[in-house]
Amino acid sequence: MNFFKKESTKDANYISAKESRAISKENKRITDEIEKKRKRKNIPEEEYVTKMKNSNNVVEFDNVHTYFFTDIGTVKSVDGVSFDVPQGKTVGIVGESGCGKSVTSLSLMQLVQRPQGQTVKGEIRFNTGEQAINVVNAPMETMQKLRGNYMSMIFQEPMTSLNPVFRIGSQVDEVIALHNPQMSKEEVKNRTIEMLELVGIANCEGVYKMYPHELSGGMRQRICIAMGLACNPRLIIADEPTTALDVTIQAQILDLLRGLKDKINSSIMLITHDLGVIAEMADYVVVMYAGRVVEQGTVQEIFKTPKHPYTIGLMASKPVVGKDVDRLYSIPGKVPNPVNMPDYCYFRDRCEMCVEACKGKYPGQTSLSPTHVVNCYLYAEGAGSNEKNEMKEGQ
Amino acid sequence: MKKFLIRRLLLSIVILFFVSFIIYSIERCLPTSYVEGKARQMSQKAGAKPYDELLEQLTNSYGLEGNILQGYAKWLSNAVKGEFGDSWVWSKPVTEKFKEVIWYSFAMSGISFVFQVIIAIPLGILSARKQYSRTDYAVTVFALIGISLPTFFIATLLKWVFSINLGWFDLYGIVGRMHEQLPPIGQVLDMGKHLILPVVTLTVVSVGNLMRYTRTNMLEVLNSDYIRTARAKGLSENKVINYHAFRNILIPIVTLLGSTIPTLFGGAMITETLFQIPGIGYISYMSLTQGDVPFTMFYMVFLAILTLAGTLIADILYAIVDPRVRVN
Repeated sequence: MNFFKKESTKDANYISAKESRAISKENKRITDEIEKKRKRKNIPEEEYVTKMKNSNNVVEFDNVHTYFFTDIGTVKSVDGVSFDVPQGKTVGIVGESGCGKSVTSLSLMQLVQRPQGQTVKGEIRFNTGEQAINVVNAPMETMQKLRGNYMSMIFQEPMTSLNPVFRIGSQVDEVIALHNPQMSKEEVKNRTIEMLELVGIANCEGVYKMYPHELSGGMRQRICIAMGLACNPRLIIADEPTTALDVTIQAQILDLLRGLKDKINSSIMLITHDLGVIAEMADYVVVMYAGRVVEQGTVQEIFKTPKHPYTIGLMASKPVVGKDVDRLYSIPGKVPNPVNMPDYCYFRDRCEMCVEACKGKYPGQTSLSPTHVVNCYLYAEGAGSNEKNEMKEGQ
Repeated sequence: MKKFLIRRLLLSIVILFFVSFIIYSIERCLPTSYVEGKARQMSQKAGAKPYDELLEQLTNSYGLEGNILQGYAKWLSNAVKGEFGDSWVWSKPVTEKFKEVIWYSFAMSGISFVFQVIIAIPLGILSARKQYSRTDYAVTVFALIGISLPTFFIATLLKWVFSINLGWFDLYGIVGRMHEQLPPIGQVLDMGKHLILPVVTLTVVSVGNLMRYTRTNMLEVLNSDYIRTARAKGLSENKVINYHAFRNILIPIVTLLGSTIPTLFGGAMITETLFQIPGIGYISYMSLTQGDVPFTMFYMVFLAILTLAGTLIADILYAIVDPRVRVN
C-alpha cells in the first residue's frame, strides 16, 4: 500500500486536490505580494532607472526569471536568461516550442499574463537613448511610454492580432497619435499612409479604409509591421513573424524587415524556430532550451561550429540543399515537464554525448570566444577536469 | 441588405401564419370556455332559458359555431384587415383595451431595462477585469441570487420589507387612494411611486443574466491577441478596456439587448400580477383565464410579432456593430 502511494505521488503529472489547493493558496500569496508592490502609487525613480553595462546595447537581459504560478505548480518558463541585444543588430532566438522564447520577449514588454505570470528575479535593462530603464520594476505609465514608441512587437498571429471591428487606418493612426501628441490628424494620416507604403501595400488609401477581415494573412502581417515601425522604435521584437505565412510571403516579409532595420537603424529581436530565417537575418544567435540559454554566439559560430549537443542536434535536423539523406535527423525524447525542473542539465536525458560530469548540477557557462558561450560540461575547462568541477560545485 | 430584409419579412409572414394557427387551436381546446361560463351564469338567473339553449345561442352570437379550422379562417380573414374584434371580457374593441394598458407595461419594462443595462454592463466589465478577486466573487454572488430567486419571492420580500414593515409604498395597484385629488404632476409622481417596487423586482431578476453574459464575453475578449496588440502599442489600460475591448463585447451584447427590446412591449405577467399593475401582462392573464379568445389571440400574435421583430433587429444590429457580417 505504502509503496504504491509513494509511487503515485512521485509522478509529476499527478496532483491531489489538497496539494492543488495548497499550491494555489501559496501562489495567491506570492502574486498578491508582487502585485501590491507593483501597484504602489509613485514608485520612486531609483527603483527602475539604472545604468546599462554597455551603452551600445539596446537591451540587456540579466538573469531574468519569469515564472507562471499555476495550480499544478510553478512553471519556470524563463529561468535565468542573460543576453544582450546590441544597437542596430539582429539577434535571433531559436528553440523548441515552449522553451520560453516568447515569454522572454513578453517579459521585456511586460505583457506576460498577470497576475499568474510574473518576472520574479533579474533585470531587463532597456536603453531609451537618454536613460536606462529596468522594465521589471518600471511602473505601468513608464512602460506605456516605452511600448510602441521605443520597443514594439510584431506578434506571431497576424490573423488575430488586429482588432476586427476597427479600420486598418484607425488602428495604425492610434499608435502614431498616441506617441506623437503634437501631430495633427492630417499629419497622422499621412504618416500612416507613408508607413503602409513602406511595408509594400499597393493600394494604401483603399487599405486605410478597410477592415482586417478584408485582407489576407500576409497583408495583415504587413499592417502589424507597419504598426510596429510607425514610431521608429529602437527595438523591434518579431515573434515568429513568418510562421503563419507561406514561403513566398515569408521571403518578402523578411526582406522588408531587413530593409526597414537599415532604414531606421533599429535592433531586431527575431524569435523563430526556422533556422533558415536565422541564418539569413541574424547577427547573433541565442539558443534556448527549457527556459534557459544553452548556447549563444555570432551566427557564424553557431552555424559553423555548434557546440552544445542540442544545437548540434538542431543543425543536424535541418534539411540541407544538395545533401542526400533518407530521413532527417530528429532529436530523440521530449522536453522535460516544466513543473519542478530537476537541478541538472535539462538536456541530459536526450543527449547522445553525455559524460560523467552530466550527473551533476546544471552546468555553468563556458566561454569559447568573446562572443561564443555555451552551457555544457563537454567544454568546461579541459575535459579531464570535469569531475573536479562537479565536485567543486557540489560543495 | 434590401434583399435580405425582404426575404426575412416574407419568411416572418409564413411563420406568423402557423404560429397564429397553433395558438388558435390551443385556445379553442382550453377547458375554460367563455361561452360555457356565461351560459351557466345566465341559466342560473330566475326565469332564464335552460343551459343548453343558452349555450347554443351564445355560441352562435360569439361566432364559435363550426370547427377550429372554420373559426381560424374567420379570425384570419378579419385579422388580415386589421380587425381583431371586440374583447369578450372587457366589452370593448381589443385594440382599444390594448392601447389603454400597454403603456403601463412599457414604462415598467423600459425603466427596468435601462437600469439593467446601467448596472449589469459596468459590473460585468469590472468583475472580468478583476477575475477571481473579492469584487468578482461579490458581483457573481449578487448576480446568482438575482438569477436563481424566483420573481414572486423577491416581490414578496420587497413588499414585506418596504410596504408592510416600513410602510413606504402601497402593496398593490398603480395609483394611490388619493389619486383623483392630486394635481396632474402629482398624479404622475404617484404612479411613479407605485412603479418603484415592480421595477426593482424586474431589475433584480434580470440583471444577473446580462452581467454574467458581459463578464464571460469580456474575459474572452481580454484574452484575445488584439488586446495584447493594443497593450503593446502603449495604450493605457482604461483605453484598452473601454475602447478596444468594449467595442468587441458590444457585438454579443447588442445582439442580446436588441432581441429583448421588443419584449418590453410584451409585459411582465408575473410581476404585474403580483403588484396588480394593469399592464398588458396582467390583463392578458385575466383574459386568458376567462377564455377571451379575441383578446388572447391578439396578445399572442402580438408577442409572436415581437419575437420575430426581435430576431430581425438583432440580425440588423449585428451587421451594424460587426463589420465582418455586413451584408452587401
